[in-house]
This record gives sequence, structure tokens and C-alpha cells, in this order.
Amino acid sequence: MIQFNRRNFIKGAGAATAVTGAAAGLGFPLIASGAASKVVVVGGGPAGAIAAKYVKKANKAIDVTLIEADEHYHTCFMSNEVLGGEREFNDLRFNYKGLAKHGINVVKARATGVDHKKKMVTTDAGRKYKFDRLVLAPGIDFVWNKIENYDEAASERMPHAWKAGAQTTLLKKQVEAMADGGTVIIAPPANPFRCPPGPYERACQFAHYLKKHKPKSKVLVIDAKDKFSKQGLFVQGWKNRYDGMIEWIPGSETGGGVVSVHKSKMSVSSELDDFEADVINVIPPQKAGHIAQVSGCADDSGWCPVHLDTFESTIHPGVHIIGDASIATGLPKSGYAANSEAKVCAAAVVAALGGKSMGAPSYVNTCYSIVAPDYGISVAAVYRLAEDKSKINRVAGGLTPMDASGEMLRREVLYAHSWFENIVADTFA
Amino acid sequence: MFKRLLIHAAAPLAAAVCLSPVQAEMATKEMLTGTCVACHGTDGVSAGPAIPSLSGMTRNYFATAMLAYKYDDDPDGLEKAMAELEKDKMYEDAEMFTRASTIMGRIAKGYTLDEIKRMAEVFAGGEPSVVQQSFDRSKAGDGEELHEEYCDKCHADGGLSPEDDVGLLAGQWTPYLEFTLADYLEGRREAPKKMRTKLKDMHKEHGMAGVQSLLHYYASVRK
Repeated sequence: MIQFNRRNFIKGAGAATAVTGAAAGLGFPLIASGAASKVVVVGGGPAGAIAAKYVKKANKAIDVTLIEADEHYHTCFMSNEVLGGEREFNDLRFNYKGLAKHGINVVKARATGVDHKKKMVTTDAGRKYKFDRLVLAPGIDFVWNKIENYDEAASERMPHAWKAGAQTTLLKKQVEAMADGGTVIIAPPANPFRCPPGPYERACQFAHYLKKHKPKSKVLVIDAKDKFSKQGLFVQGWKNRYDGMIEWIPGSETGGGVVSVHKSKMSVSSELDDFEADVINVIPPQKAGHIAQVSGCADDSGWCPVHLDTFESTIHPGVHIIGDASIATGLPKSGYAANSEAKVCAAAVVAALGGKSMGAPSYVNTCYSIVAPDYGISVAAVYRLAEDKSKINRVAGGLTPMDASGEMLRREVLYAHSWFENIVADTFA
Repeated sequence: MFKRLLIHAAAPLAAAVCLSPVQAEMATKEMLTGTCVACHGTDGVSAGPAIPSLSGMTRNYFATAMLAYKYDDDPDGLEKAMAELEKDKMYEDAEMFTRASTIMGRIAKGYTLDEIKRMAEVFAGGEPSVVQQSFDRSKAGDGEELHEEYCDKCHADGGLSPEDDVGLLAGQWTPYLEFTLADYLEGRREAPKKMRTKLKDMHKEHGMAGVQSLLHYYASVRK
């Protein structure tokens, strides 16, 4: 694997720089001379924080730096419960003190570029960080104006709330300010996007809030797609708990969902129809986060192609991309998958720096959605790498059974909340 | 290279039988348990009250639980897997009990017996965790008496003693234990014959209040 990458690097960089590359050592001579190997991680979400922590956990001698622009991270998972009024916004907030206690050098700065030849990350503070292995976990950025008129300014009027934070609070306030009898639109994008069941859980959480406080109101989901994650369970949940309150319009009925927004009229248009509403939640198309783009690790799709056993870039050897930003063919863009990818990546990085084999990768996804405070549903799966390494195959798993008892649906909520406690502790504690 | 290592490690005969190209490279035990702990807590110590800690579970307990989940729809498969497990000296005392679940039945099917054994090794090597949680002192007192009368024979030290080779009680989160006891009482989880009798007797004599007292007692136990 390492051999292969080195050859790739030489091919890509040209013969002259190849000599420099070999002299700079690509990691190995550093180890030979006794200096600590350097791993730099960019992005402190559920992927990046785990990668930093698990590299350190596996080998304390490795020098690990985490570069993150914000002092706090707000988890996307469980942020729909904030919209539903069942969770405090502050419950989503975590800091990096726990990671610093593990000996990780936490740097509060925005990574602005990667010098692949010198193996260095630059930041907006003007500092440079040398690495033997780089892990990029930037999450998502939005593709503004792909939906006509939907840019960052428009998101202040029609929030996406697809990165938790001020947008979550803004959307919540808008729904709270709405009169009874109003309409809330959710406009989910086409695949691939962060958190595939998220828009439909959000419909549940809006409906939960509205049923309690503004029961004449409606939630209209104008989808770009004709099917979605956990569809059968969601549709059943909507009927069981919010009958008549949630309407879902598949893409085929509108010519592919929302294509333009009109701030002043508070309306959205599809190819075939216009829709007005009091609150409009547009979830725009997405791509890998900024650093993945400027470092040249993303392809034409906007996402980052990687070797699925190591999450090492197929474009830039020595750089790994994990979490929502990567093309992890077979795995969903979920928080748990990010955690799982990060652990596989950490093992690969530690093995590469020590010149050893990491063994086979193993991946899991476990994802809960909360239909109501006593009604949870889930999907879980175990994955293995295909023999030809072209994709990550699901080898077991499935959904909450359609005929699950009330007691089991109730327990799934409690498991979801405990899932949250454990994954955030794994990430930040 | 790795293939060769594997052959060295395994007995030559077994290696010849099982070494298909797919199995040439195995996941390390840490790689495997890494997939568990985002739900079950870092190092198997749970921070979520509905999810059990795995740290300190005996090999037998962990492996038989995983097999019960894996074969929750296939009694013959479970019997065969148990027979296979017991061939391993480390597991010769393993006993088979079925259990229902929400999610574990879906997950456990993704792992081989060999992988389950490697996970078991990691968690059995950890210390049982004793979480700090609130409890009612007087109910805990009643619970202690009930524990001594009905449970202590097999669950000494509140189930913290690995020699007993049974489920951890003290130290586990109350909501998790509450689900578990409800599952035993309502037939969703199979108990050893002795336990079934004891639990039934306790429940008959003291009702759900007795169950609650036991839960308060287990929440009160400190190492």
C-alpha cells in the first residue's frame, strides 16, 4: 500500500521533485532518526476528533495536531430534537478540552491550504504545520445558487439548519413565531447529502412541536427524490402520530423538487409548481468542505475519492479524507459512519507510520431517528470491504421492524439518547 | 506477507481449511471493538443509561450474548454455533440462552464466531465499570436484602466477581438493568433454570416494588 502510494506520488510530482520527495522522507527517515511522526487532522467533528484521538490512543509517541476553526462544535445529530422543543440547544455543544487532555495539540485556526510537496498545512493565522500524514475531515459545504437565488444571504431568511449552530436557533425561532394554521416547507436535496434520514426526522420534530402548540399547521416536504431513508417507517410514524399534518411530495410530481426560491414572496418553485409558506427550510446540495476543495482532494463530483481500506486520497497520497467529505462508496454520510471511518483511518495512519499492516478494516453504521418522544426507529448495519476494494458491502443489518411493539419503539428513543451520550463522549471526552 | 504470518499463527491443518483469499487479512481485535464502542462507550464503559457497559464482561457472557443475537431467528444455527464455541477450551463452560433485542440482532449477524471471540477477549480484559448514579437509600437497603436472599449465590459482590461468570449487575446503569429484568420477567430473554425460579419467586413475593428495590441496590454498590 505504502509502496504503491509512493510510486503514485513520484508519477504525479515528476522526476525532479521525486528526488526531493524521497529526501524529505515521506515519514520513514523521521522515524529512523528518532523524531516523532507528525499527524495533522483538519476538522474537529465526529470524524476528525475521533481520528486524532484514536491515533494518539494507538501510539502516544505520534505527535497529533488538530486544527479546528471553532472553539465549540455543535452536533448535527439530535439537533432536530431542538427544533421539536425536546432538547436544549446547549446540549449539542462540545469543546476540545477533552482532546487536549489526551495530549492532542488543539489549534484554533482555519486551515487555508495544503502544500503537498512540502507536506505542510497553512492556516489563516499564518502558521504552517508539517505532517507525515494528513487527515482532512472538513464535513460539508453548501453549493450555493444551484437552487436559483439560494445563497448564504437567502439562508438567513430560509434557513438550512444543516450545520448545527446559529442556523438551528434561527429555524426554531421562525417556527415558534409562526401563527397557528401556518405551513412549514422542508426541501430536501437529491443524493448524496449529509444525514439521509435527517429531513424526514425533522418533519416529525416540526410536527411534534406544532401538534402541541399550533395544531392547525402543516409540514410540507417538497423532495428532490422519489424515495428516502427509512421511508416505510417514517410514513408509518407520520400516520400513527401526525395524521394529516405531514405531506410528502416526491420529486417525480414536481419535476425534481425545488429549483428556485423567492425570499420576498416567501415561496419556492419547482419546474411545475410554486409553493408559499410561512417557514421555509431549504436543505441545499452539498460538497466536501473548503479545505478538501482548495487542497485538490475533491473530484468533479465535489466529494473526495479515497481508497476504502485506508481512506487515503486517490489523488494525493499521504492525505486521508474521512466523514461526510469522502466518497465512502457503500457507507452513508452519517455521524456513526464518520466515527467508524475515522477509526479505520486512524489504524491505517498508525500502521503506515510504523511500516506495518493494519489488518482488514471493519465498519458499522447505527442511526436512530426520533419520530416522537416515545417513538424511535433505527437502521444499523455491519460492513466489509469488497474483495476488489471497489466498495464497502453491507454484510448484515436492517431497520426497526414495521410491526415493532410500542415498548420497543419507546426503548429505541432511550437507546438513541444513550447512543448520543456515548458517541459524543467517544468524540470529545 | 500477512498471509504467511497467519499460517504461522494458526495450526497448519486449520489454516489449510479456512484460509480462503477473503480471510487472508483479518481485522484486529481493536478494529472490531472500535465498531462497538461509539454506542457502548469508549473502552466499553457506557456513558448512556440505556446501553450496557461491556468492559469487564466475561468471555463466556459476551460471546454467548452475541451468538444469541446473531441467531435470534435460527435456533438450529445457535445450537451449532454454541457447539463450535465450546470446542474452544476458553469457552467450554459456555451456556446457551436466547435473547430478544431491538438492534443487536441486526448487528451481531455481521460478525463471525472468530470475530466475536476476539471482541470478547478485549472486553474481558477490561475492568467492570461502576457508574455513579442516584439511588434511594432505603429502597437500596430493601434491595440488598432481596439480593442476598435471591441473587447473591450466583451474583456475588453484586455481580462484579468475574469468577461467577455471569452478567454484571452492580455498576450497570439502572435503565439498562430495568429493561433486562423486564425482558426476563416477560419472556423475551431466557434465564438459566435456577435464575428463572429465583426471579419468579422474588417477583411473586415482592412484585415490581421488589424489582425496583433491587435496581436501587445495584445502583448503590461501589467497588
